[in-house]
Amino acid sequence: MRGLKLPLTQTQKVRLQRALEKLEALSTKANSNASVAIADTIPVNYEDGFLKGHGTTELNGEVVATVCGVVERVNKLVYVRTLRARYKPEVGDIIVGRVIEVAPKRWRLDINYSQDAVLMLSSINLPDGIQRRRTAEDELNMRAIFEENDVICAEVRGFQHDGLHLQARSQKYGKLQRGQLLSIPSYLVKRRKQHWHYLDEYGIDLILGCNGFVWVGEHVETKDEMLVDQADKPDSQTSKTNDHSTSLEGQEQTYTPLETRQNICRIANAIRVLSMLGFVVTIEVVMEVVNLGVSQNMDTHEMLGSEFCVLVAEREAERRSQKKNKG
Amino acid sequence: MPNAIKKKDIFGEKPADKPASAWFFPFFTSLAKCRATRAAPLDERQSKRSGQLLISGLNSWRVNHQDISLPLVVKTVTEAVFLRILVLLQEMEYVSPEGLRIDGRRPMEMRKLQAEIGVVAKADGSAVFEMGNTKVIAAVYGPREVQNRSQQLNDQALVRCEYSMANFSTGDRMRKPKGDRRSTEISLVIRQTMEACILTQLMPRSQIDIYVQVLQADGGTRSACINAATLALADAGIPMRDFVTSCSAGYLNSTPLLDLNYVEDSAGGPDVTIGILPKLDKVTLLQMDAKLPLDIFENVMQLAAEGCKAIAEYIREVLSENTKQLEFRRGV
Repeated sequence: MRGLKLPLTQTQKVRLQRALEKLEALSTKANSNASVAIADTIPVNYEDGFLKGHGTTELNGEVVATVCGVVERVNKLVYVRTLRARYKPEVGDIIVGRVIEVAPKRWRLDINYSQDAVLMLSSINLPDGIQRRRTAEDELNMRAIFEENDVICAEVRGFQHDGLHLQARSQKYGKLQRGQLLSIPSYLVKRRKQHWHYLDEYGIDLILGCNGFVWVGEHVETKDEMLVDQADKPDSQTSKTNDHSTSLEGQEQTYTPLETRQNICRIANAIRVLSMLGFVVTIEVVMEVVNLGVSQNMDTHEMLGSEFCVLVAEREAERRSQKKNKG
Repeated sequence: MPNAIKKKDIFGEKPADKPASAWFFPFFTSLAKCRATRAAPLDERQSKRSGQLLISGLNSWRVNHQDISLPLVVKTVTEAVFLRILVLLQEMEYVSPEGLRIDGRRPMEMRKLQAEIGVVAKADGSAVFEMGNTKVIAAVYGPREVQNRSQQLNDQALVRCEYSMANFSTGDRMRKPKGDRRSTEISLVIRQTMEACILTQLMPRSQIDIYVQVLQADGGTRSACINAATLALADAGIPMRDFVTSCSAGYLNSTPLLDLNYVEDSAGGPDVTIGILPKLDKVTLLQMDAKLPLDIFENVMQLAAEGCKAIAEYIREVLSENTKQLEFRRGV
């Protein structure tokens, strides 16, 4: 059994147990025992016909699970949704990845998938913001854009013959700096409309990548390149390049204030606690945990302790039961 | 056992005041006893040392009793000793008349099983599996990008396995835990067994690494490793045809014994380790390093297969409990 690796006192153990039991009671009604282990037979209606999806196989005329997870049914399709598996990309997912190799005309990124993802030089916005063919010179200067071990935010473009391709054709995509990268199991991140979050009371950007990589960093203003472009169309080339070089130098000099760094750690620890307990990580839950920490006068480092962990579990149980009563 | 002599008596400084037989026989009886009851074999170094002690003891004995010639003593003594050892090994009682084994189990009883999932934070899947005092940890990484491009397979995943024993896993601290022939062989066995059940064709151009380490060795490490690897693979969400579970069985004192521990394993009798796919009812691993008549072999193998099924039942329970936990905690 997956256990918490935390020293809990007897009362904390009882409290945690009670909170978890409450959570279990809340969920059993919603999902009626659809979880299967490997080689379990999945009951299907053979007369109606069915389609075998991921995580299933046929054995002696029975549908059998090949992974541990939850059986999902969509019309005739029967598939097993795994929980702790690696990330499975879908087109349009917003992901955070780390550059592991600079190859000809492309970067290779580690995105917690079974293969490395490819980000082509031609599918990013150049720093000077001009749309043009990528020349050999651009190819030589690729390390000026992204280097090895840089953390990058991008979007899944689709599968090509040589693997998974990404794109970063907007100002909001690109290199992530001055922050923390957290890696949590990808099943804890839900696909939503919005994966970027600007938490203005903390001055922090939070990116919940669909692949389970979460970025918590200092907020950076992204100017809408198109608007700026239209505003000063003439002499854009020269001014832009200058602009860029000064901003780079400026970035070197500006340093993140202590308060922001503390806030980054606070939010990162909130996410760590949630992933440790196996609770889904959404912006609402993260903010609730952060606020709970603040209201309990918890230091940032205390947020990873056993007491806070139990508190979060109790709060989550409460939150879910309230939600259930409302809905 | 004729008499229980303490180690102090065996390695005592002054054997001279005792007659030769009284000194030698207890030594070898308790040597055999050591073999039978201790959790680790007497290694070469130790037996060599005891040999030296023997000789030095003899010399001093001769000095005191000069009327007996040394060669004669050595000859009679060695003959007697070897006879004694032979008799002892044959007589060694692994199943008592009441039908209990050395550790108190019945012949068809398995040791206590204990499994825990998710013990290595960084791994994609991990598990600790215990069978009695044997304890094994397994970690699975992958499916991930193939590290060595030349090994990449375009139609299926590459499965790799590394088996190792922790230095502290045996009674005598191990000097060289990695890279010996035994662990290479077991790595290969585990890899082949796991590869047979992983649906590798679903993950082309990727690699799956399985690392197993023995934390406590008390017989049946091979089986425990396979069981731990199965759990870790299932935890990593890697699609498999079926679980592989493994169990060993032996034949001592004309009795088939399930799940041998170290003492029974080192008795030198036949030891059958099998790995099965319980749902498909297929055998993926069968190892035996001794001879057995066919009818007895069938019995022993049947017993081991029953053990495997019991383990499969336990593993299934652990995994479905784990999935349920993950699902209700996640909510939504």
